Amino acid sequence: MRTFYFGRSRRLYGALHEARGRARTTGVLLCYPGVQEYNQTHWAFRRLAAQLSRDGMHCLRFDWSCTGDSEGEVHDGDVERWVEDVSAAAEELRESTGVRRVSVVGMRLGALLATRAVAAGLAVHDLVLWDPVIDGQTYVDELEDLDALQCRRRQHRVEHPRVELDGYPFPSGLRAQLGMQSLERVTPRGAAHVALLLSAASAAAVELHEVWQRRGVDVRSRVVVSPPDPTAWQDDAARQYTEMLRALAAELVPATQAAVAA
Amino acid sequence: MNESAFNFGERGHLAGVWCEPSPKVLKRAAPPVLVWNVGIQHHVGPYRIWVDLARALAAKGFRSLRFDLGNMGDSDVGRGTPGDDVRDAMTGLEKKVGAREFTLVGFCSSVDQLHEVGLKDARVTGMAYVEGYAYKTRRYWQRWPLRFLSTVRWQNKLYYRLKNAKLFETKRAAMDAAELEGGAGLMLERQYPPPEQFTNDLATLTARGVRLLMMYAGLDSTYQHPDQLFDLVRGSDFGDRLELIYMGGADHIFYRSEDRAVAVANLCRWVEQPHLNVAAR
Repeated sequence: MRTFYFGRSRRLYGALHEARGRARTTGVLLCYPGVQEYNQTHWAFRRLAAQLSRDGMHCLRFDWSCTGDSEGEVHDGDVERWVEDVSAAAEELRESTGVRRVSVVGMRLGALLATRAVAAGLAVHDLVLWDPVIDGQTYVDELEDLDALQCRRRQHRVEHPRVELDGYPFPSGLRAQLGMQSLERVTPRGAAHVALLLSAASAAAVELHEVWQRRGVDVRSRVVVSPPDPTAWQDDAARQYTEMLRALAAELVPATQAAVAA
Repeated sequence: MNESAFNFGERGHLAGVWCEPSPKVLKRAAPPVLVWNVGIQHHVGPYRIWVDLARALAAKGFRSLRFDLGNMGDSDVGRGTPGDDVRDAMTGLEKKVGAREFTLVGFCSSVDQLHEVGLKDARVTGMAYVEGYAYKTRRYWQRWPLRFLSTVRWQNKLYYRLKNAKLFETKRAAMDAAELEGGAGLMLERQYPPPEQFTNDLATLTARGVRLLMMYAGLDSTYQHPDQLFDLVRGSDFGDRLELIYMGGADHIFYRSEDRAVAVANLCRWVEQPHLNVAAR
């Protein structure tokens, strides 16, 4: 694993897991969830990256601008900038490893941002969406529920209006931006294949699948029963995602095997 | 300020982020500040507290390294113990910037490495225990009955009894799985020194000239009274080398950003203090 900073307009922090053995021609870009869910899933992302590198794929995970080790402060977070970060990271993966094409795995908000980047022109082979945020307002509502739970757990009062959410500043501009996001309104035409991997079946995911299929997107959906308890989102229980990680790796490996054979 | 990835350790397997102040404000003689994983959380710390600390320190001229222990966060598997990794970080910085003295900051479970390394390694001249070892002394028990008056406590108890009764078992089972490759599991095995030993250790450290900061939160912490520590160390004389800060309205992980900001400001002030005195003289 090699860590470094990259990016022209903003310095982003990345961790590259180089392929073991003969490298495949497709590299994988991992997009973390939003900052509120980032710490809890870091370990799961490392495990996934390690697995993919063992499978012969170069794999880059990176911190969104204004989060993690990347440049900027959380209160300056911006959805449009994050969408640009996806393309910057994909370019970095190509340049630093020489892979011919890139597949992307995005989780929760990371899935939405990756899809928006692909819809805006980023060409990828597989776009794998792990429990994607389908509707921005629903996502904000979920974060508020989690925040109320955490406040209770930590013996704090829930403040109104909420100037922070789940431990991080949450300015009104970012709230408004997130609230307007909708996966149904974008079409990831830049992806050869799209996979929706879900921890639980949802009507919104079924609808999204149908909408994209009608628009000619090659999309498949699968429910992977993991994690067993939805409260795992708030706990540092990212380690429970074993089944999901296996499913994610399985989505990516056959395609790249084909690429190597070709 | 400039942040850069830094690899160190025998095989360069340990990873961190080196934060260097701008040359105009850099205090080159000041010991770099080292922070690392808190539980299984990687080197950015809970709610990014170590990034906030590093950048706040850099603004005041202090250098820092936030890093991951072996097989955690962005570090690869190592051969040594977590304490060895902390020592490797200091050795790496000796080579990188010529530093000879270091300030270590531990938070929750990472005070285990802080305490172990600080006791044995003379390069450590400052140690901050954030929500570190808290012992249930007389003042704790004096406050103990008050907890039964807290509605929040009863709500929590009921909530977790109903909702999460099996969650911890699941987590432990997952943590024990071979696929976790060992490293992260170490953080769950705490090494709480017995109270008498801890008191003696503090005396040993201060006699060596090490500056100590004990910072505690009060809400969901074992530390319930501002002077709880003094019950333990009564009769010991640490001179002016031990400072105690009690943040009664903060929780164990500083969930609210305003509490984190205060915690970071407290740490910065403590790091800066000896250098302010030098400037004044």
